Amino acid sequence: MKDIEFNNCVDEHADGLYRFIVKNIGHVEDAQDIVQTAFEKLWVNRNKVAPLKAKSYLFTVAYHQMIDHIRKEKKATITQSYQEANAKATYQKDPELKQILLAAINELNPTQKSLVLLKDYEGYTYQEIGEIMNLSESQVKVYLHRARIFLKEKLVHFEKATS
Amino acid sequence: MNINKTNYENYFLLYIDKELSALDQAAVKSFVLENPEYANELNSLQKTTIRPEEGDDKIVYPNKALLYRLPEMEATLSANFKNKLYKQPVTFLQPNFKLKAAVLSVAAIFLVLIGYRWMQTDKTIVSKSGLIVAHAATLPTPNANESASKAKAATNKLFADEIITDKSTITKVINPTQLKLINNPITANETAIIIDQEATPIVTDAQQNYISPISDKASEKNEIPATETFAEAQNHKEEKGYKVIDTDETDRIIYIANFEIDGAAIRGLTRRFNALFKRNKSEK
Repeated sequence: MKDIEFNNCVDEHADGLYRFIVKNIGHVEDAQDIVQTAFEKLWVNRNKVAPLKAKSYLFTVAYHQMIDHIRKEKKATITQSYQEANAKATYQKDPELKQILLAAINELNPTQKSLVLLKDYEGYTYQEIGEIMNLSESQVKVYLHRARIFLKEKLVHFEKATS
Repeated sequence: MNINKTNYENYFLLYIDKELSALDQAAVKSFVLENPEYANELNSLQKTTIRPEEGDDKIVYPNKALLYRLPEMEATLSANFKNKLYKQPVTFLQPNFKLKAAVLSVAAIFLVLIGYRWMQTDKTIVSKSGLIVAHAATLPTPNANESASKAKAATNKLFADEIITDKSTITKVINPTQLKLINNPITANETAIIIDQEATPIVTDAQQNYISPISDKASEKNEIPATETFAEAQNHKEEKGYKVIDTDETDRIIYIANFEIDGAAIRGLTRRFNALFKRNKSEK
C-alpha cells in the first residue's frame, strides 16, 4: 500500500469507522483515539495489507481496540447525552420507537451490539463480520439473530403497552 | 428452499440481514403473501434494523488531516549522521616497545649531554669572572695580554681540574720578574693579592707552596690593612644594627598595619588607665 492508497483509505473509511466506534462506546475522544490507533496500525502494516482489505483490517483493529477499551473502562453502554442527541438528530419520524430501539440496543452485550452496528450501518456480510470480530460465520448468525429477537420483543412489548 | 411454520423465523432474519439470494428473497415474500399472519412478524423484525439516516452523516472524524501520510513525514536522517551521534569505541594504540625504548634512550642521551654542557658552562662562568678581574686590574696593555692569556690558562686549569700539576704555569702567572718585563704599571704584588682574594682555597694553597716569598711580602704589606678595614667594617655594621632606640621620645609614631598611631597619645591613655585602676584598687 502506497501513501496515496493509504490517504484514500482515510477519506473513505475514517468517518464510517469513527461512527461505528462512537455508536458503540458513546465517547467521542476515546473513539478518536481508537480510530487513530487503527490507522496507525494500518500504516505500520501497509506492506502486508492489500488496499481492498484495508476496510476490513481497520474495522478489525478498531473493534478489538474498542473491546479492550470497554473492558478497561467498563463502559458498555452509551452515555445518556449521546443517546439524546443521536435520537433527536436521527429519528425524527418516529422518535419514541427509535428511542426504545436505541435503548434496547444499549442493553445488548458489546458483541451483539457490534454485530448489529456492523450489519446495519456498514452492511458487512456474516463472513466479513466474522473476520472482523474473529468469529465464525455461524456464530455471527446465531448471535445476530438472538440480538434481533431481543430487540423485536422490546419493540413489541412497547407497542402493546402504548396500544 | 422450503419455508414452513417451523423455520420461517430463521428465513425472516436472513431476509432482513440481506443474506439471502434473490430467489430465496422471492420465496420469503411468497410465503408471507400466502400466510398473512406472519406479515406482522416480518415487520417487527424489520423494525429492529437501524438504517443510517441524515443525522449519521454529521458524525464525521474531526481531525482527518492528522491521519494523512505525506512523503515529508518519511524523511529520515542519513546513516552517517546517525552513526556520528553514537559513541564510537576508542581505539587504543598498541605500544611499540622497541620504538619506545629507542625514544627513551635518545632522550636519556640528550639529557646527559645537556647536563654535561650545563656543568661546563657553569664552571667557565666562574673562571671567566676571575679572569675578568685579573685582566682588568693587571693587564691593560697589549703586551700584557699574552701574560694574561697564560694566566687565564693557568687559572682555568686550577678551577677545572682542581689539581695543580705544572708548577711552571703558576710561576708564570705570578712571577714578579716576568710581569716587570712586560712593563706592567701595577706591581706584581698587587696582582698576586688580587688572585689571592678572588681565587678558591686551592689557589691559596698553591701560593703558599710555590709562591711563598711573594705571599709573605703581600701579607706584610696588604693583608694587615685589609683585616683592619674588615674589622672596622664589622664594627660599623654592628653599630648600625644595634642602635639604641630612645623610648622616651614624645613624637614617636606606632604603625599597626596601615594605621598610624601617635605614641604620645597612647602613652597618655595608658597612664590614665593605670591611674584609674590604681585608684579603684585603693578604694577597694
